[in-house]
Amino acid sequence: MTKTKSDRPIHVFIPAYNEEENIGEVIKGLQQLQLSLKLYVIDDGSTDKTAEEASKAGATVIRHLVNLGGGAAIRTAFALALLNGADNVVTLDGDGQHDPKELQCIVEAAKNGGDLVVGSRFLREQELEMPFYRHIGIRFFSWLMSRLVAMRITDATSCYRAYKTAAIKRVFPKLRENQYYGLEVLMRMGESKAKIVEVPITSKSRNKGKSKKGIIKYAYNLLRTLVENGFHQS
Amino acid sequence: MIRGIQVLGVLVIAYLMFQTLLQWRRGNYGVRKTVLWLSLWIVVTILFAFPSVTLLALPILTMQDAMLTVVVMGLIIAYVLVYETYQQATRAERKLAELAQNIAIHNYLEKARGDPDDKDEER
Repeated sequence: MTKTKSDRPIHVFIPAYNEEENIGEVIKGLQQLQLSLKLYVIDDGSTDKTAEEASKAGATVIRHLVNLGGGAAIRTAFALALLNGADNVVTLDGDGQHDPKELQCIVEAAKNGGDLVVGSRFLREQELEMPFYRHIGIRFFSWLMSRLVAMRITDATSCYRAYKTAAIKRVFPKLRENQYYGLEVLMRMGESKAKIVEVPITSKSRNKGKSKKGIIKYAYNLLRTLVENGFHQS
Repeated sequence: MIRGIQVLGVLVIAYLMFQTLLQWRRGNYGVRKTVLWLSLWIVVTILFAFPSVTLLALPILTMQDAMLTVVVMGLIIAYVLVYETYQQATRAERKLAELAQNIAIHNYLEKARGDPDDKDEER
Protein backbone atom coordinates (compact mmCIF):
# COMPACT_ATOMS: atom_id res chain seq x y z
CA MET A 1 0.00 0.00 0.00
CA THR A 2 1.33 3.44 -0.89
CA LYS A 3 1.81 5.74 2.06
CA THR A 4 0.32 9.23 1.90
CA LYS A 5 2.59 12.22 2.21
CA SER A 6 1.59 12.89 5.80
CA ASP A 7 2.39 9.27 6.77
CA ARG A 8 5.88 9.41 5.39
CA PRO A 9 8.68 9.77 7.90
CA ILE A 10 10.62 12.96 8.35
CA HIS A 11 14.27 12.40 7.57
CA VAL A 12 16.39 13.90 10.33
CA PHE A 13 20.09 14.36 9.65
CA ILE A 14 22.59 15.11 12.39
CA PRO A 15 26.08 16.03 11.21
CA ALA A 16 28.54 15.18 13.97
CA TYR A 17 32.26 15.33 14.51
CA ASN A 18 33.72 13.95 17.74
CA GLU A 19 30.43 14.18 19.64
CA GLU A 20 30.54 10.85 21.49
CA GLU A 21 29.45 12.57 24.70
CA ASN A 22 26.38 14.24 23.20
CA ILE A 23 25.12 12.29 20.21
CA GLY A 24 23.35 9.54 22.18
CA GLU A 25 21.29 12.07 24.17
CA VAL A 26 20.34 13.98 21.02
CA ILE A 27 19.08 10.78 19.37
CA LYS A 28 17.21 9.65 22.47
CA GLY A 29 15.57 13.08 22.69
CA LEU A 30 14.36 12.73 19.10
CA GLN A 31 13.12 9.18 19.66
CA GLN A 32 10.87 10.38 22.47
CA LEU A 33 8.87 12.54 20.06
CA GLN A 34 5.54 11.22 18.84
CA LEU A 35 6.58 11.62 15.24
CA SER A 36 7.54 9.27 12.46
CA LEU A 37 11.25 9.99 12.07
CA LYS A 38 14.15 8.40 10.26
CA LEU A 39 17.30 9.35 12.09
CA TYR A 40 20.64 9.60 10.33
CA VAL A 41 23.94 10.67 11.79
CA ILE A 42 26.53 11.88 9.31
CA ASP A 43 29.72 11.07 11.16
CA ASP A 44 32.23 13.44 9.63
CA GLY A 45 35.38 11.41 10.15
CA SER A 46 35.23 11.41 13.95
CA THR A 47 38.23 10.01 15.78
CA ASP A 48 36.19 9.11 18.86
CA LYS A 49 33.22 6.78 19.31
CA THR A 50 30.57 9.06 17.77
CA ALA A 51 29.57 6.46 15.14
CA GLU A 52 29.30 3.66 17.70
CA GLU A 53 27.28 5.78 20.14
CA ALA A 54 24.93 6.94 17.38
CA SER A 55 24.45 3.42 16.10
CA LYS A 56 23.87 2.12 19.64
CA ALA A 57 21.22 4.81 20.18
CA GLY A 58 19.39 3.62 17.08
CA ALA A 59 20.36 6.01 14.29
CA THR A 60 21.59 5.04 10.85
CA VAL A 61 25.19 6.12 10.60
CA ILE A 62 26.77 7.35 7.38
CA ARG A 63 30.46 7.75 7.83
CA HIS A 64 32.93 10.04 6.05
CA LEU A 65 36.35 8.41 6.07
CA VAL A 66 38.01 11.76 6.74
CA ASN A 67 36.85 14.97 8.37
CA LEU A 68 35.50 17.18 5.59
CA GLY A 69 33.46 19.75 7.48
CA GLY A 70 29.84 20.43 8.29
CA GLY A 71 29.04 21.66 4.78
CA ALA A 72 30.23 18.43 3.20
CA ALA A 73 28.23 16.47 5.80
CA ILE A 74 25.12 18.44 4.87
CA ARG A 75 25.70 17.77 1.17
CA THR A 76 25.93 14.05 1.97
CA ALA A 77 22.68 14.41 3.93
CA PHE A 78 20.98 16.17 1.03
CA ALA A 79 22.23 13.53 -1.41
CA LEU A 80 20.75 10.80 0.79
CA ALA A 81 17.47 12.67 1.20
CA LEU A 82 17.15 12.94 -2.57
CA LEU A 83 18.17 9.30 -3.01
CA ASN A 84 15.64 8.09 -0.43
CA GLY A 85 12.83 10.19 -1.85
CA ALA A 86 12.25 12.13 1.39
CA ASP A 87 9.64 14.91 1.45
CA ASN A 88 10.79 16.82 4.48
CA VAL A 89 14.29 16.97 5.85
CA VAL A 90 15.40 18.33 9.21
CA THR A 91 18.98 19.06 10.21
CA LEU A 92 20.21 19.76 13.72
CA ASP A 93 23.52 19.80 15.52
CA GLY A 94 24.89 16.77 17.30
CA ASP A 95 26.20 18.72 20.29
CA GLY A 96 22.88 19.06 22.11
CA GLN A 97 22.45 22.79 21.40
CA HIS A 98 19.12 22.14 19.73
CA ASP A 99 16.10 21.00 21.69
CA PRO A 100 14.56 17.94 19.97
CA LYS A 101 11.12 18.95 21.31
CA GLU A 102 11.17 21.98 19.03
CA LEU A 103 11.42 19.81 15.93
CA GLN A 104 7.66 19.59 15.66
CA CYS A 105 7.11 23.34 15.25
CA ILE A 106 9.93 23.55 12.69
CA VAL A 107 8.35 20.73 10.69
CA GLU A 108 4.90 22.32 11.04
CA ALA A 109 6.23 25.53 9.51
CA ALA A 110 7.65 23.52 6.61
CA LYS A 111 4.35 21.73 6.12
CA ASN A 112 2.60 25.12 6.14
CA GLY A 113 4.53 26.25 3.09
CA GLY A 114 8.09 27.06 4.10
CA ASP A 115 10.69 25.69 1.67
CA LEU A 116 13.36 26.37 4.26
CA VAL A 117 12.49 26.84 7.92
CA VAL A 118 15.24 28.23 10.12
CA GLY A 119 15.10 27.93 13.89
CA SER A 120 16.04 31.37 15.21
CA ARG A 121 17.42 32.00 18.68
CA PHE A 122 16.64 35.70 18.41
CA LEU A 123 12.90 35.69 17.77
CA ARG A 124 11.93 35.14 21.36
CA GLU A 125 12.81 37.06 24.52
CA GLN A 126 15.26 34.77 26.30
CA GLU A 127 18.60 34.59 28.03
CA LEU A 128 21.04 33.77 25.24
CA GLU A 129 23.51 31.07 26.20
CA MET A 130 26.36 32.41 24.10
CA PRO A 131 29.20 34.88 24.58
CA PHE A 132 28.36 38.51 23.80
CA TYR A 133 30.82 38.76 20.88
CA ARG A 134 29.26 35.71 19.27
CA HIS A 135 25.81 37.22 19.66
CA ILE A 136 26.94 40.47 18.00
CA GLY A 137 28.71 38.54 15.22
CA ILE A 138 25.67 36.40 14.42
CA ARG A 139 23.40 39.47 14.41
CA PHE A 140 25.83 41.26 12.06
CA PHE A 141 26.04 38.35 9.62
CA SER A 142 22.28 37.89 9.77
CA TRP A 143 21.82 41.56 8.92
CA LEU A 144 24.20 41.18 5.97
CA MET A 145 22.39 38.04 4.87
CA SER A 146 19.03 39.83 5.04
CA ARG A 147 20.40 42.42 2.59
CA LEU A 148 21.61 39.69 0.24
CA VAL A 149 18.48 37.56 0.17
CA ALA A 150 16.14 40.55 0.45
CA MET A 151 14.17 39.14 3.38
CA ARG A 152 14.49 39.45 7.13
CA ILE A 153 16.79 36.82 8.62
CA THR A 154 17.53 37.02 12.34
CA ASP A 155 19.69 33.91 12.76
CA ALA A 156 21.64 33.13 9.62
CA THR A 157 24.02 30.70 11.29
CA SER A 158 21.44 28.45 12.96
CA CYS A 159 21.61 24.90 11.65
CA TYR A 160 18.32 23.75 13.19
CA ARG A 161 16.43 23.76 9.95
CA ALA A 162 13.73 22.02 7.98
CA TYR A 163 13.87 21.75 4.22
CA LYS A 164 11.45 20.73 1.53
CA THR A 165 13.25 18.24 -0.70
CA ALA A 166 12.02 20.07 -3.80
CA ALA A 167 13.90 23.16 -2.58
CA ILE A 168 17.01 21.08 -1.83
CA LYS A 169 16.89 19.70 -5.36
CA ARG A 170 17.08 23.21 -6.80
CA VAL A 171 20.11 24.32 -4.80
CA PHE A 172 22.01 21.05 -4.29
CA PRO A 173 24.20 21.22 -7.43
CA LYS A 174 25.32 24.74 -6.50
CA LEU A 175 26.55 23.96 -2.98
CA ARG A 176 30.33 24.09 -2.62
CA GLU A 177 31.17 25.11 0.92
CA ASN A 178 32.78 22.36 2.97
CA GLN A 179 32.64 24.00 6.34
CA TYR A 180 30.46 27.09 6.85
CA TYR A 181 27.43 25.99 4.93
CA GLY A 182 24.68 27.82 6.82
CA LEU A 183 25.14 31.08 4.96
CA GLU A 184 25.73 29.43 1.60
CA VAL A 185 22.53 27.38 1.80
CA LEU A 186 20.54 30.47 2.75
CA MET A 187 21.99 32.43 -0.16
CA ARG A 188 21.33 29.70 -2.68
CA MET A 189 17.79 29.28 -1.32
CA GLY A 190 17.23 33.03 -1.58
CA GLU A 191 18.58 32.99 -5.12
CA SER A 192 16.19 30.17 -6.08
CA LYS A 193 13.25 32.22 -4.68
CA ALA A 194 12.55 29.60 -2.02
CA LYS A 195 10.19 30.64 0.75
CA ILE A 196 12.35 31.09 3.85
CA VAL A 197 10.58 31.15 7.20
CA GLU A 198 11.98 31.56 10.69
CA VAL A 199 10.51 30.07 13.85
CA PRO A 200 11.68 30.76 17.41
CA ILE A 201 13.85 28.17 19.13
CA THR A 202 15.49 28.02 22.53
CA SER A 203 19.08 29.12 22.86
CA LYS A 204 21.14 26.46 24.62
CA SER A 205 24.83 25.86 25.01
CA ARG A 206 26.31 22.50 24.01
CA ASN A 207 25.70 19.66 26.48
CA LYS A 208 29.28 18.49 26.98
CA GLY A 209 32.68 19.10 25.44
CA LYS A 210 34.12 22.14 23.72
CA SER A 211 33.18 23.91 20.50
CA LYS A 212 35.64 23.26 17.66
CA LYS A 213 35.21 26.76 16.21
CA GLY A 214 37.65 29.48 17.28
CA ILE A 215 36.05 32.92 17.19
CA ILE A 216 38.51 34.59 14.78
CA LYS A 217 38.56 31.67 12.39
CA TYR A 218 34.77 31.45 12.60
CA ALA A 219 34.25 35.15 11.85
CA TYR A 220 36.80 35.12 9.04
CA ASN A 221 35.22 32.08 7.40
CA LEU A 222 31.70 33.48 7.69
CA LEU A 223 32.89 36.65 5.97
CA ARG A 224 34.74 34.66 3.31
CA THR A 225 31.65 32.54 2.66
CA LEU A 226 29.53 35.65 2.30
CA VAL A 227 31.97 37.35 -0.06
CA GLU A 228 32.61 34.26 -2.20
CA ASN A 229 28.95 33.31 -2.45
CA GLY A 230 27.78 36.89 -2.80
CA PHE A 231 30.16 37.28 -5.71
CA HIS A 232 28.94 34.00 -7.19
CA GLN A 233 25.38 35.20 -6.76
CA SER A 234 26.07 38.54 -8.45
CA MET B 1 80.31 41.70 -13.55
CA ILE B 2 78.51 38.61 -12.32
CA ARG B 3 76.62 39.23 -9.08
CA GLY B 4 76.22 36.67 -6.31
CA ILE B 5 72.46 36.76 -6.70
CA GLN B 6 72.83 35.69 -10.35
CA VAL B 7 74.90 32.66 -9.39
CA LEU B 8 72.47 31.76 -6.62
CA GLY B 9 69.49 32.19 -8.94
CA VAL B 10 71.00 29.97 -11.65
CA LEU B 11 71.91 27.29 -9.08
CA VAL B 12 68.40 27.27 -7.61
CA ILE B 13 66.88 27.03 -11.08
CA ALA B 14 69.27 24.23 -12.03
CA TYR B 15 68.00 22.35 -8.98
CA LEU B 16 64.37 23.01 -10.01
CA MET B 17 65.16 21.75 -13.54
CA PHE B 18 66.65 18.60 -12.05
CA GLN B 19 63.51 18.13 -9.90
CA THR B 20 61.28 18.62 -12.95
CA LEU B 21 63.22 16.00 -14.94
CA LEU B 22 63.10 13.68 -11.95
CA GLN B 23 59.31 14.01 -11.77
CA TRP B 24 59.16 13.22 -15.50
CA ARG B 25 61.40 10.15 -15.07
CA ARG B 26 59.18 8.94 -12.23
CA GLY B 27 56.14 9.34 -14.41
CA ASN B 28 54.57 12.03 -12.20
CA TYR B 29 54.70 14.62 -14.99
CA GLY B 30 53.59 14.08 -18.57
CA VAL B 31 55.51 15.49 -21.55
CA ARG B 32 53.35 18.63 -21.69
CA LYS B 33 53.84 19.49 -18.05
CA THR B 34 57.59 18.77 -18.21
CA VAL B 35 58.05 20.97 -21.28
CA LEU B 36 56.00 23.75 -19.66
CA TRP B 37 58.05 23.78 -16.47
CA LEU B 38 61.39 23.41 -18.27
CA SER B 39 60.49 26.31 -20.56
CA LEU B 40 59.70 28.44 -17.53
CA TRP B 41 62.98 27.51 -15.85
CA ILE B 42 64.95 28.22 -19.04
CA VAL B 43 63.38 31.67 -19.36
CA VAL B 44 64.15 32.44 -15.72
CA THR B 45 67.73 31.15 -16.14
CA ILE B 46 68.24 33.47 -19.12
CA LEU B 47 66.84 36.37 -17.11
CA PHE B 48 69.17 35.64 -14.20
CA ALA B 49 72.25 34.91 -16.29
CA PHE B 50 71.77 37.77 -18.72
CA PRO B 51 69.73 40.46 -16.95
CA SER B 52 70.62 42.87 -19.73
CA VAL B 53 68.03 41.04 -21.85
CA THR B 54 65.45 42.90 -19.83
CA LEU B 55 66.90 46.20 -21.06
CA LEU B 56 64.63 45.75 -24.04
CA ALA B 57 61.61 45.73 -21.73
CA LEU B 58 62.79 48.49 -19.38
CA PRO B 59 61.15 51.38 -21.24
CA ILE B 60 57.85 49.50 -21.41
CA LEU B 61 57.96 48.51 -17.74
CA THR B 62 59.37 51.95 -16.81
CA MET B 63 62.06 50.32 -14.68
CA GLN B 64 65.61 51.58 -14.42
CA ASP B 65 67.59 48.60 -13.25
CA ALA B 66 67.85 45.29 -15.13
CA MET B 67 68.38 43.17 -11.99
CA LEU B 68 65.48 44.84 -10.22
CA THR B 69 63.30 44.06 -13.24
CA VAL B 70 64.27 40.38 -12.98
CA VAL B 71 63.40 40.34 -9.28
CA VAL B 72 60.05 42.09 -9.81
CA MET B 73 59.17 39.79 -12.69
CA GLY B 74 60.15 36.83 -10.54
CA LEU B 75 57.79 38.04 -7.84
CA ILE B 76 54.97 38.41 -10.35
CA ILE B 77 55.58 34.87 -11.61
CA ALA B 78 55.66 33.65 -8.00
CA TYR B 79 52.26 35.27 -7.36
CA VAL B 80 50.83 33.55 -10.44
CA LEU B 81 52.24 30.20 -9.32
CA VAL B 82 50.93 30.61 -5.77
CA TYR B 83 47.47 31.42 -7.11
CA GLU B 84 47.61 28.46 -9.51
CA THR B 85 48.64 26.20 -6.61
CA TYR B 86 45.76 27.55 -4.51
CA GLN B 87 43.31 26.77 -7.30
CA GLN B 88 44.70 23.26 -7.71
CA ALA B 89 44.52 22.67 -3.95
CA THR B 90 40.88 23.85 -3.95
CA ARG B 91 40.04 21.53 -6.83
CA ALA B 92 41.82 18.62 -5.14
CA GLU B 93 39.98 19.34 -1.88
CA ARG B 94 36.65 19.35 -3.72
CA LYS B 95 37.47 16.06 -5.43
CA LEU B 96 38.54 14.53 -2.13
CA ALA B 97 35.28 15.66 -0.52
CA GLU B 98 33.24 14.19 -3.39
CA LEU B 99 35.16 10.94 -3.16
CA ALA B 100 34.68 10.64 0.60
CA GLN B 101 30.98 11.49 0.24
CA ASN B 102 30.50 8.93 -2.53
CA ILE B 103 32.24 6.24 -0.48
CA ALA B 104 30.03 7.09 2.53
CA ILE B 105 26.85 6.86 0.43
CA HIS B 106 28.05 3.69 -1.30
CA ASN B 107 28.76 2.03 2.07
CA TYR B 108 25.33 3.10 3.34
CA LEU B 109 23.60 1.66 0.27
CA GLU B 110 25.57 -1.59 0.53
CA LYS B 111 24.59 -1.91 4.17
CA ALA B 112 20.96 -1.04 3.42
CA ARG B 113 20.89 -3.73 0.71
CA GLY B 114 21.88 -6.31 3.30
CA ASP B 115 19.45 -4.95 5.89
CA PRO B 116 16.02 -4.34 4.30
CA ASP B 117 14.73 -2.61 7.46
CA ASP B 118 17.22 0.12 6.82
CA LYS B 119 15.85 0.80 3.37
CA ASP B 120 13.39 3.57 2.88
CA GLU B 121 9.81 3.13 1.86
CA GLU B 122 8.66 3.35 -1.74
CA ARG B 123 9.83 6.34 -3.70
